[in-house]
Amino acid sequence: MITLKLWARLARATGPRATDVLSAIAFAFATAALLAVLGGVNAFRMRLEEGRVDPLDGQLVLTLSFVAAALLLPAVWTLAQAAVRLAIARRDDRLAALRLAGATRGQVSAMAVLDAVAQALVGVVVGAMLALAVTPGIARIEFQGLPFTVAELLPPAWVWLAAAGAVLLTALGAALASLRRVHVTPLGVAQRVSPKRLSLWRILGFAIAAGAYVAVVVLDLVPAELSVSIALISVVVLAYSLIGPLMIQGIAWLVAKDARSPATLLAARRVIDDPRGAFNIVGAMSVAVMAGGFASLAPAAAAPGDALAVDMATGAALTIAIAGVLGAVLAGIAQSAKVLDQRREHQAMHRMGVELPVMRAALVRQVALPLVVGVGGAAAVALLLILPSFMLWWSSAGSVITWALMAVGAVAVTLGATAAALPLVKRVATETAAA
Amino acid sequence: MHTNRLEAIGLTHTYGQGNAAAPALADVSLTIGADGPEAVAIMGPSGSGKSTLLHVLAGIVAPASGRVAWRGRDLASMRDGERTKLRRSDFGFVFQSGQLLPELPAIENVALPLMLGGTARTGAEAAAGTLLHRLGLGEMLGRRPGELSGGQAQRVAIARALVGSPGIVFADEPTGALDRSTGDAVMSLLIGATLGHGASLVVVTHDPEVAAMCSRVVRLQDGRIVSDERRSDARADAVPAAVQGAPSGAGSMYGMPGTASAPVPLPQPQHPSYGAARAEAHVPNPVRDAEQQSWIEASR
Repeated sequence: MITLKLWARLARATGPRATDVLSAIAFAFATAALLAVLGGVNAFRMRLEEGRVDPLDGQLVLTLSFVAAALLLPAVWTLAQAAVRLAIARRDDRLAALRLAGATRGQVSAMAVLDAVAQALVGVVVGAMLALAVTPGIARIEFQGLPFTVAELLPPAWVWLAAAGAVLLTALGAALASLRRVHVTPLGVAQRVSPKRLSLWRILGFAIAAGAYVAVVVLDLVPAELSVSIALISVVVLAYSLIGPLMIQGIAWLVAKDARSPATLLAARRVIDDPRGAFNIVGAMSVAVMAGGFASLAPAAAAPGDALAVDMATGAALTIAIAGVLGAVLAGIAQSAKVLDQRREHQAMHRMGVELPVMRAALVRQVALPLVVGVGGAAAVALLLILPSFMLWWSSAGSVITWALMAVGAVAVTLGATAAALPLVKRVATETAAA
Repeated sequence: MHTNRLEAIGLTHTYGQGNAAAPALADVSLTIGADGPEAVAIMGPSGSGKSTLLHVLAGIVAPASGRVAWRGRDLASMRDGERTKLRRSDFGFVFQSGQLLPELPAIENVALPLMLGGTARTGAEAAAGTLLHRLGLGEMLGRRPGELSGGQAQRVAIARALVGSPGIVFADEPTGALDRSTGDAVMSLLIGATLGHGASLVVVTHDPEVAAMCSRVVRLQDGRIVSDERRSDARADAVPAAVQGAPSGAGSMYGMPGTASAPVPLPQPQHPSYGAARAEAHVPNPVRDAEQQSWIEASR
């Protein structure tokens, strides 16, 4: 109770800061994306249950909507984690002062967690309103030969409450994990050592998935139904998450080796340092682009007038669009959190005469490098795996162009969103003066 | 007049505004490097304005009034970008915890200022490698700051500060995070290498032992200079010969390709007080002596 009172008093005294607003925005987008995806799944479920669609096609589309949701959930989780990092960023001085004043470690941790959960709560409310606001727009999209209705896209109240609870629990879990990391390694940055090489087992995992796809879908060695083929494609797409960080680390290592400019060198070294973190920002978009590559085949492969094929292409485009929005918000938020996390480095660089444009360029390249490798690699893998169907794919030029434009657009929006973090560089680097 | 002259006249600075305003500097004037390179310790209790003075002298903070001139040029007359460039080209910095970039290995940390100044990476890394070898870190080129001991990290920071052949090096509590023997060794290296480069050293410290190794001690109290003492008995006995002889002087691209990497002949002590101090009896210190020996061996 004392902790709660003290937290409320400090919150009133300090008021909301820019990082609090960014954190709440991140939670809002995470919630809105989650509710939009759940809305789509609910619509397909209702159509199937009410017998308004062919049972086989309906079941398949419902399965695909679960796959799309599975592709997007990691991005929602990463976004929530970045939001938590922002929520508790720069609290360390205050927390240290409280410890010195006699607060226990538990009390201090509880206050940090309360900060994160409070901002998550604000984000959940704003995100729910955002989801309601975009639902009429989503309802215009046509699936299974029918446009959605707003009623279909609004899941039952318990789903909304569960989604809100999931976001709050994510905030709680991520906050506790962040605090644990701080407690275990109080010297965090100083203790950083050479990055561990990612396990090569990741390649094997992806190779097995890709091999199964080639054996069943391309070479037709094992007779399989369409649903099995789609399941295999989904497995290949999800298995990309295994090799994505490995590819990003490998390419970053090559870039660092030959980097001529300090900004590129810094960016590449930072990516090598945390390839999983780099992939988390671009992962959702990468797998969405890859899924889109496969789905772009569907209209050409299907018989004329086959609604399922059109649905697959539409679903893939929608997934890329949502992943693009999430990726853009994530890039902006994650880079802002990184600038705050690395404030001592930025201050040191400013003092030793590193120009602000160099620091800003490093920040943008830190996103651009994994983005190009992750999304480019995903597109390349998709192309490679559908190569046997190339002629078929080529005959479906329209959906291919749509796929390519969606991918380029998502990349451009993400890079644009990174610009949101750039003003922070100057603020953080030059505030050294008052130290 | 020596070219590497830093002159501060009538500096005042205040943090906060209105009733909350706290004076950090009050009419501070001093000149550094007027008669050649010197090691100046700025001492004083917490809140006396030591770090603020260092930041103002280095052009990181603009004073509320007064002027700072480097080689005769007023820092206030420069644009922000020019001051940033000046800090990179003419000044070197060593902080309490090194503040090396944690993602970069030692050699890249040291090469970075040269790369920022336009030197090609190969040349920058060659210079950095030579300097690190001279400072006894030849085996640590590929290690990242997290894999170095506190003393090693500070030696890398010293190499980074000196690689661009600055005219003056600013150090803020450079031994604050080190134990006594490592701190002494690092301080000896910092003084020896900086003066050997023909540069002056300004070191903020609260440690009398560190100040005792400097040739001049400026004491601050409530933002004012209360004493400015030039010492002839500076305790520079620990300055290793290898690092005193290593650098070839200000303005040169020490260690660049084509430059001999063997140790250059020992220069004469750059400040009279060091000549006197070095002639004093050496106080045995096994830890320090062993480290000095390793530096000397590494430089061969």
